[in-house]
Amino acid sequence: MDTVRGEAPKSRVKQDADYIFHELTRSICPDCKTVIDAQIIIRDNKVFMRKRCPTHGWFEGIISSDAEMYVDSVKFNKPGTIPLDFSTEVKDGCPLDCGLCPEHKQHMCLALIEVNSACNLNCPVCFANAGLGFSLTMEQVEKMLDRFVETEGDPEVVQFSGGEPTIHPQLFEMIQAAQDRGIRQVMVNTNGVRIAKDDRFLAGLAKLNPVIYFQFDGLRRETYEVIRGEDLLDIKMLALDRIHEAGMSAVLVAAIERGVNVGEVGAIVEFGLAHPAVRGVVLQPVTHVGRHIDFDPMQRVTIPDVIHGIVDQSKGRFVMEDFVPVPCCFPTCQVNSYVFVDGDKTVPLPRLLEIDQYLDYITNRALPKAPNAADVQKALEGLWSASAVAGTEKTASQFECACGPGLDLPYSMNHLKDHIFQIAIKDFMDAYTFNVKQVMKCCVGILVPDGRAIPFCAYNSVGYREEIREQLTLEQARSKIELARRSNS
Amino acid sequence: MNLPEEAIAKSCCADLYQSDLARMILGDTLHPGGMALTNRLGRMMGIQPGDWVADLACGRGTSAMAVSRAFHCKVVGIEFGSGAAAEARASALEAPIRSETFFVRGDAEQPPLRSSVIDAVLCECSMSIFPDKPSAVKQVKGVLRPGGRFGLSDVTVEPGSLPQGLNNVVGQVLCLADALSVAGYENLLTHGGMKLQHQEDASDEIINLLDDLAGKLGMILAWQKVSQPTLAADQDWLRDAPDLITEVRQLVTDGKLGYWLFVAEKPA
Repeated sequence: MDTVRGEAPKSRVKQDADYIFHELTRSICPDCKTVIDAQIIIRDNKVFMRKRCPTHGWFEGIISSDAEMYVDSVKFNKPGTIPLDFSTEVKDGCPLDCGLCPEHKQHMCLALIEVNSACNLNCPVCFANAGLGFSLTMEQVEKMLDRFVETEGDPEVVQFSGGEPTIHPQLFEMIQAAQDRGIRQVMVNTNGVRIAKDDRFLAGLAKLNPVIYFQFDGLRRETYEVIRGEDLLDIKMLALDRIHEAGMSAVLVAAIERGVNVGEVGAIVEFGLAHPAVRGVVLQPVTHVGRHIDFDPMQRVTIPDVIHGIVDQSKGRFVMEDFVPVPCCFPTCQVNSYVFVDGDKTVPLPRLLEIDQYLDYITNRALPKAPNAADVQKALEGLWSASAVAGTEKTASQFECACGPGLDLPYSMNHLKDHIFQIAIKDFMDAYTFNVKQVMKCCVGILVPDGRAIPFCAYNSVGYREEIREQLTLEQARSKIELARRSNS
Repeated sequence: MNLPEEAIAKSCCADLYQSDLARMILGDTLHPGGMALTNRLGRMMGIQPGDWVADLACGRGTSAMAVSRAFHCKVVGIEFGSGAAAEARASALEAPIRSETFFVRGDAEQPPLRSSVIDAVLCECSMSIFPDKPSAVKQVKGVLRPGGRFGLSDVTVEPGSLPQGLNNVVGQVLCLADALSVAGYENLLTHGGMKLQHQEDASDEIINLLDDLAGKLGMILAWQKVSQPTLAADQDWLRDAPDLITEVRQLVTDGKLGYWLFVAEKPA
């Protein structure tokens, strides 16, 4: 047989693939949003989603930078709770029938209402895309809340978001309407600009006392310049001090972006622990939907990157085991930790008891349990849930119950809730990482005026946001034209 | 009032509900299920925008204001406790969002209202503490317009199932002392000339309340252990509270203790 000199003969030895095929799921094409099959593969101890659109070809994106953590988290998967009513039928299959359809595997722990699309900032990473806008009416919001109560019975948390909800003229009425309907925790997601500048607004807000979900991306000016388009550090600091002076609590919410503020996660946690208004931090890797900076789907930040960041940057205060997957949603979506704080002393709750014993729903079933195990498990489920709100009495009493008699806390209840600090890391999906399996058990929903509750990541990745926004904008434009016509005639 | 002892008992109960401890343990709304259950009752009653609603034993007026805002109706709150009506009035004035609520001091069992003017009467977790229940229902029927609705939510106790230990402060806080059975409330309403329309079991809400109570009591006890080694005489019940809570939870699970919603109509 002739072989060309200098060219190696084609090997007849079979080669191993450089990855482990972990599972097959469904996703969407990042270009055309068509639902397509997707493989979850493990390579170099990292997890990737790999998929092919017949029209747009192959796509690959990183899902988790720690395969062991990803695979281990599966045991924290908890049976879902069925909502009282569904708003759609099963027709085209997940994720095209939202929501919720009768095939959804979980109720809504937390609902968001985007009250407007207008904002007083112009951030490049915002998923609430700019453009023509809408502003919900009070009637629409009341209808959405009523429907949410119908489907949930006794809803836990509603968060008002935007756009920027603090510039909606009826925000107070909306907060009150949610409280009047017995919704236990009402949150306002804000950039803090109005809180920093408007005394009257702050006084009104303080009377209603919602928990402030406060966008806070870091402690460096450059971070804000990259993520939000301008240096907001002074405004953020001022707003936080004013929230404290007004007697309210805040949860810091940071959008974490590779090459921008991964190095700051430890500092954000430390700052939160020290600031008297702050009861918790939520760290969210930036989702690449809507307006965004150019990015590489193989380089996105994932949950293990954030945990490693906190552990490495917090000078021994935290270890990896302090962070535990959340069982109510799909456990790869979120990890939480709780910390008891007393001055400089901090004790993470996962060190006080074997959390695995209570929140491992699969491998651990047969082990003997302590007599009060059911109460402890219930308390832990309350804490490790998307509906746990930092700095509330409920969270404090769950912490106490979970710690039981082993922890004598010398604090009155009002004090105790000030001593419990929550850290949550939430990985929202984008078009590259969108996993139908996860969205089917999603427990964070966006409420829509027509009564639907659409899982957060489906809303942002599949095209619901664009569709609903267009509809709302058109409706609003039409009613304005109608008003003008009437006043002319 | 012609019976001074009853008046004293009632005002004691009203005082208890105003006490800071009760407020701390139970939060702002003093009945199982909170505002969510109040709204459920309101929907069952079919409260319409513009309706006149009376809230019997309205406490600090938290639910009265919320009902007014959520259903766009007008609410008259009636409360026996001397400070409560004034406080409710003040907090309605201070509330960031206005509601159409009016608060009067008076006997919830003899509401100081004209007859046949009210569209709906709410009575949450207080019928059980009224000493003369048939007369209270008669009064409610009197103020309702024909076709008006009476919404009652209360603790139910099946006869002979209440253990001795619960006749104390915890029992009182949970409205157990003088509660009726499910059939007892049905009879009370029908014998009072009302037409029973809906009834719903909301006993799960007691379990939720007990869970919450257990957590908070645990915290208070842990705190007291350190700051104040001996409990004050009037806080003695705190020590036994966790066991009592377990006992009450079992009663609910066994169906001996419950929380029910009833809606009855005044015949036209």
